[in-house]
Amino acid sequence: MAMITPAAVSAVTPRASGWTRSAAAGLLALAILAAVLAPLLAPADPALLTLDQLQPPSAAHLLGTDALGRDVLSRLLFALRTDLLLMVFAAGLPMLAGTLIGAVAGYRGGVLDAALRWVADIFQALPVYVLLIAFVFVLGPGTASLLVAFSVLGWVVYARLIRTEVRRVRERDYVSASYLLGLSHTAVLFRHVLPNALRQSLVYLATDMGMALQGIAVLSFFGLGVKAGTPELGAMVSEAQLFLRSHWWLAAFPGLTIVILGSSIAALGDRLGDRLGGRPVGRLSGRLGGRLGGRGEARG
Amino acid sequence: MSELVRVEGLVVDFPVRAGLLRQRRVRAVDAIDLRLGRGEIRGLVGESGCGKSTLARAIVGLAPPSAGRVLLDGVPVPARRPPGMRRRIQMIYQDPGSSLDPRRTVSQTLAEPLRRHRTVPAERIGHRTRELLEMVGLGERQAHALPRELSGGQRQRVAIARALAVEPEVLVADEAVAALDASVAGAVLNLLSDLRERLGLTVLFISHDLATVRGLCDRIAVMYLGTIVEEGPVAEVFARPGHPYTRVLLDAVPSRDRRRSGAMARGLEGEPPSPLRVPPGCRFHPRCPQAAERCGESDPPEDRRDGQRVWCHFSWRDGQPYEL
Repeated sequence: MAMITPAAVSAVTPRASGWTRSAAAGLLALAILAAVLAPLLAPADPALLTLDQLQPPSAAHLLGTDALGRDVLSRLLFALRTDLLLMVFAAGLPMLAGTLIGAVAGYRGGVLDAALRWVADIFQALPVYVLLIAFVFVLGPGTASLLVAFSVLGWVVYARLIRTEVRRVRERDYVSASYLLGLSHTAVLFRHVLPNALRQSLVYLATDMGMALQGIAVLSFFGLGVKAGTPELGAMVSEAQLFLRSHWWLAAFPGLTIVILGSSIAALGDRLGDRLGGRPVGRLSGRLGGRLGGRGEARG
Repeated sequence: MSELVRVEGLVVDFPVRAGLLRQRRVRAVDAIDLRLGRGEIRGLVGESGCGKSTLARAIVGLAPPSAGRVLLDGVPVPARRPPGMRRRIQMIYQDPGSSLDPRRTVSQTLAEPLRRHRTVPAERIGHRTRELLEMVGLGERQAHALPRELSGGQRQRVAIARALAVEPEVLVADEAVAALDASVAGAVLNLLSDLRERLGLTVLFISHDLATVRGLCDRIAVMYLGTIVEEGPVAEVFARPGHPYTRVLLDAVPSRDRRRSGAMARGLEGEPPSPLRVPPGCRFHPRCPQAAERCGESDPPEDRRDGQRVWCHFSWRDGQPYEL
């Protein structure tokens, strides 16, 4: 007889282990705190030009200075601000738009729903990154066009997710019961259908945040993102290109920050997926699932 | 007993896809007339798929009728009912797992309709919520529970309390106890009958369980393939079923002393025909043990016998032996 090991029983292993998640949460919290407190923490004005150009890290400039003599640490702190704020909007605006469109189409059904499916199919076939760059190129660089581009290309996924969920929830008896009790269709949709249909979109939002962060950094790297001179991680890496061999700190610190932030968000998105997805995955998420995921529907 | 709800020639069609681009309409409910007296509990029975639920949904206003109309207190209701009119007919659903919003506690669920209709002043909502819970036999302990923390029977009671919150005149219970186990179902049935006594509620009780209908209802209507084939007071219909289909249904109920034997006792053969292909003449004739030639040719006439109505060419004629 073969030995039955308990490990063989748990078919699904957690995708990110406990300490990774704690570390990710800690790093992200630290980044947010640093971004919020940037004006207090920064040793210098991030835009202040000095004659101490291209200084290596020292006591006076912890992360050195750049080609224009600006303090890299201060710029990094303010860049965190720019990137996190842009990330929230670049992921949040498409979700808002997609949720509204998907919810109405899914609830009303008929022509509206068919139209949405048609549009969504077309969008699905388009290369998003190429379009993103093309969009910003046409609209001109700047935060506004960045957000417009993200919203125009990003809403479709949310609309699709929400539409499917809304159509599922709409068939539940409490929805028609609420209508019979006297609520308007709008009230039924926003008070009873949508709250029960949001779960998957929230999980996707978490993943999308990481994508948005990278997207913003990449576009800024190509000079298509924020206005020139604005402290931004991608732009900082871009400016440091010329000095890559001689002055490593210029590219290394903002680059490292992007990597750390991106992977932290990805790891946390994973965790959120486990908690909200309702699937008992692994030990940790199983425990958390009882607290949060369990609030969801009891399937009859 | 004054008449509260009246259904006149009600037809409900559904579009179904037949083939790649063709659409056909299925007639789930075909020209049904039905009356509900005030304070009456009316049973509606029939096989699955015969249109009971569609009829219920049309009466409460969830399924738009293709023809015919529903009158409430003698007033025809419009196709899109205003909230005040929707309030008057409430529905209890079959699946207790789906009838309550999983994100709302019991008291939140009950408070919403109270607030919507300003049934009670805002500061008395909490009090009224407790009153409603008490009415259905639940207490303070359940008030702050989420649906998943309640049993099926408790959820069904909450669903009834929620319907009562808007002080309806009619309750349509669509297989309301079918998903509950026997003792819990019994308690919910007692509750319905008790509410009728105390609040003068009119109930349309849809079920496939004849024993339950017999114990609860005053009158019964039997549906087959979108039409009513027999209708009358429960006692009479059970004692002298006039339609062969009713007899088959009654014989299908397991009992210690079987009333009939022979051809009828064998039960019904075959599946109910699809509403996509309604047989000509009497809809029941392809499965009817008593069918004669004319059953397949002409629509069955209405036959009355003290308060009982039957649509059959051979009503109340089951005495003759039918050799097959």
